[in-house]
Amino acid sequence: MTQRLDPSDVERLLRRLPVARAPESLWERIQLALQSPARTRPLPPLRRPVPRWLTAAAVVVGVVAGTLGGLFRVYRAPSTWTVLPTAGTPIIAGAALTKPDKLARGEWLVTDAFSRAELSVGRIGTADVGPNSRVLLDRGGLTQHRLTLMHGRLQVIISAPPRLFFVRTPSVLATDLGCAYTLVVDSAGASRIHVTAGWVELREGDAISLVPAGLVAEVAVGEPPGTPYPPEFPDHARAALRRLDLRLGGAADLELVITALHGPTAFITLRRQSGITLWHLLPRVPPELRERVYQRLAQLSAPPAGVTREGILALRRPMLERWRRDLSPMWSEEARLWWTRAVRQLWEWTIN
Amino acid sequence: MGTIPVAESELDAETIEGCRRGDPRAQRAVFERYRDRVFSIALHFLKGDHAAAQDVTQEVFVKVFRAAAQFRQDARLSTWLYRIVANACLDELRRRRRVLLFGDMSPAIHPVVPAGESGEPDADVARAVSRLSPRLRMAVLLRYFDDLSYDEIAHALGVTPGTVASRLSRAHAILARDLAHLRPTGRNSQEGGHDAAS
Repeated sequence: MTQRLDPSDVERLLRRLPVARAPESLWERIQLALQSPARTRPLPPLRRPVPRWLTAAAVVVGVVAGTLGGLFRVYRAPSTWTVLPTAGTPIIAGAALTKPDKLARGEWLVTDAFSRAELSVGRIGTADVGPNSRVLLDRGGLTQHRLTLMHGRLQVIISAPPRLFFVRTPSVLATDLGCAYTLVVDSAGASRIHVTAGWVELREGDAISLVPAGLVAEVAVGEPPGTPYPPEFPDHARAALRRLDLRLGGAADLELVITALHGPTAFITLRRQSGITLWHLLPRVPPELRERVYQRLAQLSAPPAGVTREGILALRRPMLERWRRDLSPMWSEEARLWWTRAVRQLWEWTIN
Repeated sequence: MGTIPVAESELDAETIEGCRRGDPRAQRAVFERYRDRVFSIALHFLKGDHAAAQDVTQEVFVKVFRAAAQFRQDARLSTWLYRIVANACLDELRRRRRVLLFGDMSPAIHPVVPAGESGEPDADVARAVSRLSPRLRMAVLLRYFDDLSYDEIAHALGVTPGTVASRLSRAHAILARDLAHLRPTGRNSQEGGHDAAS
């Protein structure tokens, strides 16, 4: 075994470290140096060292603030958006558009039956304005990219975190949750959205519909946002679904909708899409029909752990959310790493 | 050269006040009180380089006298002074590293202990201390040249007392290994006998 000194011996030896005598000439050198102009840096005041936990906390706060600040800088909504005419002669604020120009806040972009335009949505995406459309660049918050579509057609591709891009129509507010979609508004102000990637939230008052990729939803003026449904849904099923949305439907309407949806033998993606339709119906059908909706939804996609029949029938929000997340997770929910999920949720919390 | 005396009491308030005013007699008193300790710390820290140790000592006292007016009476003068010593030594080390581009200084430019005494226990201790990393070396020198407390060393080095304790503990462990040959012979024989018996 290696021999070592005892701690007491180490201390004893260290206390015998030889003291060297400073040369007498040092005093003269110091006096001379004091007479010459100061070249030394100012001395730091004697202070307590900063605790490590405080330094670490400051670093964490700095990183979080820097990240959020950087995101705000990147995603800040510009006051003017670039417009590129892609067909015909669109009009901005009454002036014909023949070359790329800017659309300022409060200005209208109008297309006729033969014209279209491509609108740059800040740094986060593009919106293709179809024929016979009337679009207003709206005022919003620091990061709110906001349009009003009075009528016509918008084809939107957004590549950014959720809740940065909004489209107001006469019937609904469509909030981008990180996605691509086509939004059509008819002359009566009714809206129809077809989501092709990600999610869109439709909100009117307190009523909300969440439309995932692959589904369509409709909203009429003065009505709550409709339940999302597959695009190939037959007309009679759409009519039954609308009656259920308006709390006017009965068991026959529910059976029409269930029959038109994909069954338990369909591909899992299609089953989950149909599951989203049924999930929306849970709070919208009369209580006596809720059991039937639950059973069919459970056949299409079994409830995840922690979700019970009783909880769903009682419309407990956490269980409903857990099942919806299992059917089709959103941007912040699909992150697998905990810190990525935390950062995304922090972003959504900040932006909200 | 002699061994280290125990810590002396602080200078009287009149001397410190005179130093703050720039009184040469008070400055001389401060210089006389600390000159050998400051010089010794610098000399050991800089591995026996007398010229560099003199420069550092001069720099320390010039800084102290120039900034004496800023000195707060509620702090110990020695604590403040040793903070300046530590900074000056580390600055000198950094300056040399920039010159050498890599590594620490070359070992023992001039031995701290005169050549005739080389091989003596004190010389071995000085060499072992000079081989410690700069952070551990400075903690040891402040601890054993003026018997500073952990709190005072922490103030001088700008770290927490816990860090000081950790550095001293590591330094002791290294020195206990490097100076194993200085074990008292009586204890060695006793332990040897014990081993044989067992």
